[in-house]
Amino acid sequence: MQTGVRKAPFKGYQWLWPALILIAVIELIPFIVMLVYSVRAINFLDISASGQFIGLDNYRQALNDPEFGSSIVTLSKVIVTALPIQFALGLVVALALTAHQTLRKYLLPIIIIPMIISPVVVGLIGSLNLNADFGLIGITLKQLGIVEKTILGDYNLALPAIVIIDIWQWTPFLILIFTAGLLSLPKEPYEAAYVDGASTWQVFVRVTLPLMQPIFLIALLLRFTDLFKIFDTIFIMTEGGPGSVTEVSNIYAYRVNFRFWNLGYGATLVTLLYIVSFLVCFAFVKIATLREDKR
Amino acid sequence: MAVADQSETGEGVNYLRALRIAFLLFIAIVSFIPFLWIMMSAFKLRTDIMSPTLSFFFSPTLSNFLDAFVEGDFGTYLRNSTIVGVGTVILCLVTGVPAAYAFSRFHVLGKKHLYFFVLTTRMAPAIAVALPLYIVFKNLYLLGSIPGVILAHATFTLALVIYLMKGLFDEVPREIDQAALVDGYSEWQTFLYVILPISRSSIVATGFLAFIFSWNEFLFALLLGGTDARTLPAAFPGLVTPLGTYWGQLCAAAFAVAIPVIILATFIQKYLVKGLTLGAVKG
Repeated sequence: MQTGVRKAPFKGYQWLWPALILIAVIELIPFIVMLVYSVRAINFLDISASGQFIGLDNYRQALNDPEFGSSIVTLSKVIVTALPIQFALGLVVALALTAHQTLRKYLLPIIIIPMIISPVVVGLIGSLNLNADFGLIGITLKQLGIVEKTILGDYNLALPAIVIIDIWQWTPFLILIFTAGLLSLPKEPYEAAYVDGASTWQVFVRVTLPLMQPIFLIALLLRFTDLFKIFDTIFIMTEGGPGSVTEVSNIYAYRVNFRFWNLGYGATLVTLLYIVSFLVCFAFVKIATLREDKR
Repeated sequence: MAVADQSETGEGVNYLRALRIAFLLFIAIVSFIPFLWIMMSAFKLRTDIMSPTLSFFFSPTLSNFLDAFVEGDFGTYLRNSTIVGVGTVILCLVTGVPAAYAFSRFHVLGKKHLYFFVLTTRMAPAIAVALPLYIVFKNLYLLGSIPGVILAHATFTLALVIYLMKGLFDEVPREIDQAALVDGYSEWQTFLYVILPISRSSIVATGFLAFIFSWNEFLFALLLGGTDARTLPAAFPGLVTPLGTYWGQLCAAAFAVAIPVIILATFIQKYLVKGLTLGAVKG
């Protein structure tokens, strides 16, 4: 791939500086400012906290903050339930779609609607459809006796509802990339397997699954990080309520920063979230490059 | 990949086929009906929306659109959304496309880390980007301004544009550059007059994708746009009031947010998979 690349290590920068300046202004400087805030006491509602340096006190507070802890537990619940279901369902639908060219052509554009529309619209779809008094799903569940008064306002049902909406929204993403992946697989291994008399199931387990592994890996990574980021739909549907049963870490960090205006401590929470997503990203790239080296 | 059926014969195949079609239709219906319900509600009177009996038939009205976009401020929000979207696309294409070309053609320091950089901008929680920007913009008096929201949206679209365009430039044969250079073009001329014209359609597709990302975005617009640069998605919480929820207007706004995206997406379906997986899966 490197053949024909002109060699001059610093020459390329005349092409890059507009992008580099932009990145410095919108990513690097704000990131440094955030780190500075995270070691200070800054609260817009409290005059005594006006920017004194307090070392790692904010970080200590975060690690002992029961609300932050429970927001991480809530987030984990969402990830652990939503991800496997999306993954399995996405794969099953993708397998069915690859077998039908005509259906694929007409159904795929419809199936991907939930993931391409704004999360805000998805949130509205959730709150209106799940309304037990006049929502499509809400009324149906009420008639079936599963729901009494409300879904998103119910302590036991709110979180499962959030998970179901996320499954509705993002399974199409997995369907889309699994379908694209399955269609791009080489034909030869299949022909060889059938010549050897392998059954459909054997071919699936021994040929399709191993060939799909790189795509599974990227899908898993992207879905994990997007679930880790989950904010918009919950914000629109429940704002973390009722109580705090749907309050995932990002919603909690939002509340600390922009409801309580505790920006020093809020910056610490956000920094911690940033570090986690960075580590996941880093680990993934390491795994991916290790795999490539093996080949 | 028509390999799945080969080991079954006769009736078994037909049965399996029918089952599969039924399953796919079911999935499509489940994906579509909740969305359709909202789009239909945009044309319903309040009494029809809040009716406890489900009806797919009703007398359509434009009153929700009139209330939101003519009487209310949603016309302004629609305008803001469009300006922010177009501004973000222009900013990211102007700065990102030359950078992508450099990454594709030259030995630039940091080339190896490009993918990692793009990944981190895509993965960082929105609040982790929005909070620092909020602090910086507050001091630069950029809060509540359209340029502020555009800059904020560039935090995720710029990396996307650079990465996608690099991949697309990689597919353009280097012999074309070489031929132009031999003809006496400078490197910039080669880029402007030779490479850009033949990459037109991929640049347009990348631009559409960046526009969709900006158009759909919620948290940055909510926090940084304030009231003066409020975009359509950021206006949604304003329709949920202590006195009640303006369902009709919300659905009309949802209609205005969703339909352009669906239309744009049909044009760039080929690029969609690539764009959404950062080029890891070819569409």
